[in-house]
Amino acid sequence: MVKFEYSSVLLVGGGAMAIRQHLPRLLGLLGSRSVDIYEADPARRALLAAQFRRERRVRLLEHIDSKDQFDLVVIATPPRFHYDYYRQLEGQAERFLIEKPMTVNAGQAAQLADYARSKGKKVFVNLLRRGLGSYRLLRTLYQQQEFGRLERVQLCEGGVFSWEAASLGPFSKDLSGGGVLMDIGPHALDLLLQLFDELTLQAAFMDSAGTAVEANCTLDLAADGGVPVTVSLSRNRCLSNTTLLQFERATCSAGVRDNAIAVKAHGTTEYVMYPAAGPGSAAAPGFAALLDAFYEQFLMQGQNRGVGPAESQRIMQIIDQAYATGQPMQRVF
Amino acid sequence: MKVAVVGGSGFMGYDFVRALLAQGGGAPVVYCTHPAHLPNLARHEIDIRSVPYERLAHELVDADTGCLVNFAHPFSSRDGLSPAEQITILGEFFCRNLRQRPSLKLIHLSSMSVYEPFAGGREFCESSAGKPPRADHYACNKQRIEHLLLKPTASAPRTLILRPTVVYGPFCRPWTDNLLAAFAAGDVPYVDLGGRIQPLYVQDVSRFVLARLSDFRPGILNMAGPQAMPWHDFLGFFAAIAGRGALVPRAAGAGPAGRPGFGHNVRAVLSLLDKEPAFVSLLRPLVMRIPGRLRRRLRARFLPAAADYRRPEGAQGNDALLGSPFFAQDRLVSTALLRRLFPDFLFTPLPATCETMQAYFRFRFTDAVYRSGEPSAPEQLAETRA
Repeated sequence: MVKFEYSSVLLVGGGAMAIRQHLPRLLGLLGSRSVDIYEADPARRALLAAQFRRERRVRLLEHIDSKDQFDLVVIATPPRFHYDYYRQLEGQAERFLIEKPMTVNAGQAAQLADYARSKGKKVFVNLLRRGLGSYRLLRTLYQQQEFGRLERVQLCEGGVFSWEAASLGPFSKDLSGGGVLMDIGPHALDLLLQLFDELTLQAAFMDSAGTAVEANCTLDLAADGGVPVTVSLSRNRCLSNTTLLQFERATCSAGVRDNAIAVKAHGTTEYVMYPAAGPGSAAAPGFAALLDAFYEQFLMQGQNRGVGPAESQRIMQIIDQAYATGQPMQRVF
Repeated sequence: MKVAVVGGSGFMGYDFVRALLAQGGGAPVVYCTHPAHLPNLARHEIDIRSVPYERLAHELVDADTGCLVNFAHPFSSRDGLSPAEQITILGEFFCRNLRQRPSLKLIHLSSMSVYEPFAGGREFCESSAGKPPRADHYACNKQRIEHLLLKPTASAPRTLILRPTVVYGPFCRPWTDNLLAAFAAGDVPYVDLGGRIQPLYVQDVSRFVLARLSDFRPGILNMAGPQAMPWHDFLGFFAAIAGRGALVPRAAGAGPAGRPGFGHNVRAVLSLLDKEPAFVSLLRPLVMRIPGRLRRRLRARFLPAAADYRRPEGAQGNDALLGSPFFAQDRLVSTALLRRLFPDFLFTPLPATCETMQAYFRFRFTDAVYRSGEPSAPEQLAETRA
């Protein structure tokens, strides 16, 4: 049941994420009656105008009229522009959906969070893995010490980059603020922040320097004061895409993009703990299903608990610190 | 001197850019027609220019560019352009630049596929004329761009065309990544791996192209690895590196308790016949007339094309990987000309790459944790999960 109506929407950005992912959901899931798209690049705008010439609900804007009001503004541009567009459009809507990362640095994130709070705006950041129930269960296992003390955590996420990017944005430090850490880092850190109350960066390693953007990043973190956590992120390695939690008496393996949890207690064989069999328990929801769930769970309910600016602010603080203190990682290949 | 690189985000192009950066003395300028495959390149502080195909034909390289090196080959449609249309644009781009930049030289990476169809035991030399079957789009398009480049006689003295054999090495999808991934997943069945090839290490290609920047010689050259070997040996090398699955002969169609069934017998006869080029040649036109799914299955069997094996990652499981007669056919080229012109250039034998390829497997396919150097010992526990 849709609780909130988003009849008129402004979609800022005409890249792959905006057009292939958000637009169909705005028109389909939210049932928006009009979606105005603002794309700054005239060539891309013309291409999109031709693509949607028969879709009456979609309109390409050459500029955004400051008098127009929208039920929702979706900001899906390269991260560098998120903050500026939010500030520019703050008075034109009550609800904002901003792609991750919310901003390109922690300073902007803090300011955006402050502005949203003071003006009473509801900001949703697309941290779509909040929809994975498995991490709530892991948190319970950890807090209740079901398998004893947690000794160590390793999160590995990476694959060969295959996103059909429309521009050089994902590979530009200027536009995106960084590489893989800015790209999938917010998701990985968001999963860890679902598990732990505190997360402190100990060291960071990246395989880029200067104006280049990293394809690989390793973070050493300490969780809740002492649990060592290692995060490996990659755009050119086929990593297992799992979080490994090594407890005193068992090792739990949880997918970073799916709901599966496998447990191997010491001296026994591995078994699947979650999800339980039954309808709606798909272990591998996939990107599309996760984004659908994000729309349904947060936007359509009108609540942003867990996906608001405050969570992104914490994430951006760790990312900022990682870029500031990052050490060079040897480029093996 | 600037070196313009087209196709610098592919595995050969990237290896060359790395080698160029390591050697120094030349600044790479990478022309990128699509931004999807840039993670490797973007790690380096280099000049990357986004030039979609629609703009490429009119693009001129910088005036201080000494050499243009092309590694690009369009495998599929992009931006509404078919591979053949993209080839035309690439050809126009190269010819236009050679016309307007009188000191510019072009090194174009072609392929041994221009000699298709190959013949058992024969080593094809640079003057051999190939006639690839129409279904082999990869070979046809490689031939097409060579024709485009060699047509203007004025630019021929400034054009070097290299025809490498099966190239393997880090980030190569068909002849390294797909093989390592398959053997890491388990056993890989095969039908006939008796065809011989001369596998060529990617770093040898890069070294050779680098050397030609300062010692340019126009013409056409075959490039091959130092050893001719059956596919079985080449693939076995990757099985040993992945350390899990093995090559296993396919026992297709075997009936209960291992007795050969009717299907097995039919396939056994066909597998003998389809090694006979005359039989395949007779059957080809018939296969083209068969409709639907059966035609697709038969096409895979009787119309082997190099392009068929450049499938997207994960598109085929282990069962389908080595089942084709493609691997039964010798694909050999003569390197006499190259050895005569460059007698001191040494090519790397396959076994000599073992250590590097092991390190690559660990990097690409395991969860080994990298910090400032090699992965530390305790964290290797997690590798088995990948």
